[in-house]
Amino acid sequence: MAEQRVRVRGLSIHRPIIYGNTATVLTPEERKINPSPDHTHRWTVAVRSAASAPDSDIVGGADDLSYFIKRVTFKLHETYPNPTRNIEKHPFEVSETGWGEFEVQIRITFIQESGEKAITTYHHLKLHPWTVTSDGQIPEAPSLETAAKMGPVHSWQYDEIVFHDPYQSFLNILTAHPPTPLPKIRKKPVPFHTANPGSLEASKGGVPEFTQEMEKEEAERLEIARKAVITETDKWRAKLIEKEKELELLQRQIGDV
Amino acid sequence: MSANDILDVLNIQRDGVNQPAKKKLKSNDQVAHSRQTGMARELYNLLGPNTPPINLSNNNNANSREKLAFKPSPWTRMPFKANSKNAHGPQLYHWVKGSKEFLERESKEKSYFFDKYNVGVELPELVDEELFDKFMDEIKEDRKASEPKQEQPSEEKEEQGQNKSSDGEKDGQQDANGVSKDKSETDEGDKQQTSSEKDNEVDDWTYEETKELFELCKAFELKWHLVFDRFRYEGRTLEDLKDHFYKLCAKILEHQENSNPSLIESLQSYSKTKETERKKYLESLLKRTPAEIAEEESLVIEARRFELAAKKMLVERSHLLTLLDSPQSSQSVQQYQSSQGLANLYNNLMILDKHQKKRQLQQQQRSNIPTNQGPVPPPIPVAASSSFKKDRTFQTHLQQYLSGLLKQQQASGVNLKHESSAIQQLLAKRLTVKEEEAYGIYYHANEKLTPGVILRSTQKLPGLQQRQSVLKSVNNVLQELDIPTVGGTNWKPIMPTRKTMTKYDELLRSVVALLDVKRGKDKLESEIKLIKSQRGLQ
Repeated sequence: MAEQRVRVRGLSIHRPIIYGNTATVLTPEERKINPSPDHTHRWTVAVRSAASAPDSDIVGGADDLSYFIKRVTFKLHETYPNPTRNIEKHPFEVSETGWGEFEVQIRITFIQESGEKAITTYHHLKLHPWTVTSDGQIPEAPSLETAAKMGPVHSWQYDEIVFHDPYQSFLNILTAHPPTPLPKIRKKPVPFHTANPGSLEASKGGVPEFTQEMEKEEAERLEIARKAVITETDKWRAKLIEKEKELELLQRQIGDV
Repeated sequence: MSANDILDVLNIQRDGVNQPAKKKLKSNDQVAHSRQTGMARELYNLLGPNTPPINLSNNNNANSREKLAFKPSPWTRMPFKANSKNAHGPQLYHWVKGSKEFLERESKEKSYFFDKYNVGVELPELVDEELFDKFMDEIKEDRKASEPKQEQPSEEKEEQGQNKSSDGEKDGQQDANGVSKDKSETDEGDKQQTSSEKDNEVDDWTYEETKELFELCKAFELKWHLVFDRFRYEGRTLEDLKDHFYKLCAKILEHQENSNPSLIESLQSYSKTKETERKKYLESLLKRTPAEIAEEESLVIEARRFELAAKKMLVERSHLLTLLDSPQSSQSVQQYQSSQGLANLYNNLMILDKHQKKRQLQQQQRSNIPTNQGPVPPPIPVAASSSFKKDRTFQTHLQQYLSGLLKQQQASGVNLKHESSAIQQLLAKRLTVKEEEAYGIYYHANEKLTPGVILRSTQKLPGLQQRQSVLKSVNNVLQELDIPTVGGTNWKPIMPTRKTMTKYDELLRSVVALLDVKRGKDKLESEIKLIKSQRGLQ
């Protein structure tokens, strides 16, 4: 086993995951049954594999991640009973009802073979439908009736868990479970992300799915931004050179005097 | 003077109990006395009464009498035939013990004593011509089936002159052969005529040829060189003869009812081409020039040297391996954290060191002795040697722990291990880019990354290695561009993959460059302003 406890240098391996939540407005009947009558939404916060299973009604979750994740700890708002929820098997998710949005701390602990520390990230529990305004101001949340008509709210963040120089044994486990690749083309709505407000329309009308197209699009957007920055830089550089010449001229004049 | 006289002189009285025995002895003595005289008798008397009497008288007279009674046994010169099967053999004589009448009577019943060793080989009888033709056809077919290209005989060693005397001798022997023959044709006289007209075709054996071959074989008991020498038909090599004879014999035996299958098989296994090849090779071996022999010898010596070098290398390597064979520790260090634990560890290490030194010495001694004698046998594997056992007693607690761990993991992860080995093989041959992507593997050999786990979005990009103030302005620029910033918790890239993250990095750098240019420009502007204001003052 000794050779298994050796890190494989110069290699990194990643697993795409998504974390986030879906939220639906509770119907008046449900609200009556619910022990906390002030709760308005039912939500599920989860950590899943990025690719969606075909014909599933949830975002992502094609693979069972328990081959490398030992436990996911969701730290809910303190007002919830037992706010720290430890989920030790697939699916790594917590379903609750509530009335307000808050920050959920998500702590992912890996299996013992990994020899890695747990990682922590945060997710803003999203209950109200996405709205964007051009001027960047936060608009009023639509009323519950309209929100209920708009369907479930999805808020998911794609990320990749990267293991730099993994242990040999862990690498073996990981490579034994290749992740389901993301679909190449878009068939379902795009998961909305605040960084891409233009995608709001595309995100409507069903359960969204992460695709490779999104990566491409983002790369394109970044490229466009970079080009814009470069042209800006060139502009400013021209100005800089102009100023440099001006300064030189002035200094020579001083020298002459 | 007897013993009694001496006893008398010394005043020694004999016991009464002994008296009767004494008398008896005396009577014995009397008998001895009757024969002995003078000095002999005196000496005899000195022996005393306790010694048993020795009869010194010799029986010479009786022996001589017996000698006179001895009568010498008769030897007779008897005629005999050395080879009863050979009627033309010379008449020989030898001396045999026994009277003439007795021997003559016996020789009629018994043959020559050594005749029983004169045994011939049992050969199958040649069949009649009709059957022979049938067999020949079969043989030809077999040959065609087995090897379509018949190799031409390379050597023409046929002897030219055949002498008739050998024929005669052979005839005689055949006649003498006791084995009953049911040959359809026994007239050998025809042979001469037919042989002159025989065809020289290699494969086509005529019946006459075959018959002679069989007879020769019988006569010389399959002594092939003799058979070949006496065989009168031209164009046949020794191998041809053998081949034909064996093939035909196999056929004949097959045709018989109670034949020995293994014998047939061995007969059929004869390969003419192989035999000729073998002989050619032997001939070439014989005809080697001294230079060739010398070269061969040098090559052999060279090969030996290589072997020795390889063995030496093996020894050295095993030595190296034993050096590397130190216990690997995966136990927790907690037990060594106290001062007592440290002392323990130190002692253990000392013992281990001593053991290793001892082992090395032993191995050196072991390897030194045989080097003087020549090739070194590869050393005994460490596991088998006794010194290893000694070490084990030292290592036990550590090793037991390790092996226990091993067993546990093996028991739990047998399937997984099989799988993983396949994957390792996959990894070993370096995956294609597509496969790498599928497995999520990336080789970052040039980058120095701290081992561990990280979320891609929180990756420490080189572009982010900036001062806080710079970062702030970078973030401002990015927000202007509607690009989320990396590293923050509020703003996250949508798809933080490796590709997009490198793009982010590029973007960050360009933004930093932009800010640098801007700052430079601002600085110049302020400088210009300063100069201008100074000049305005002037």
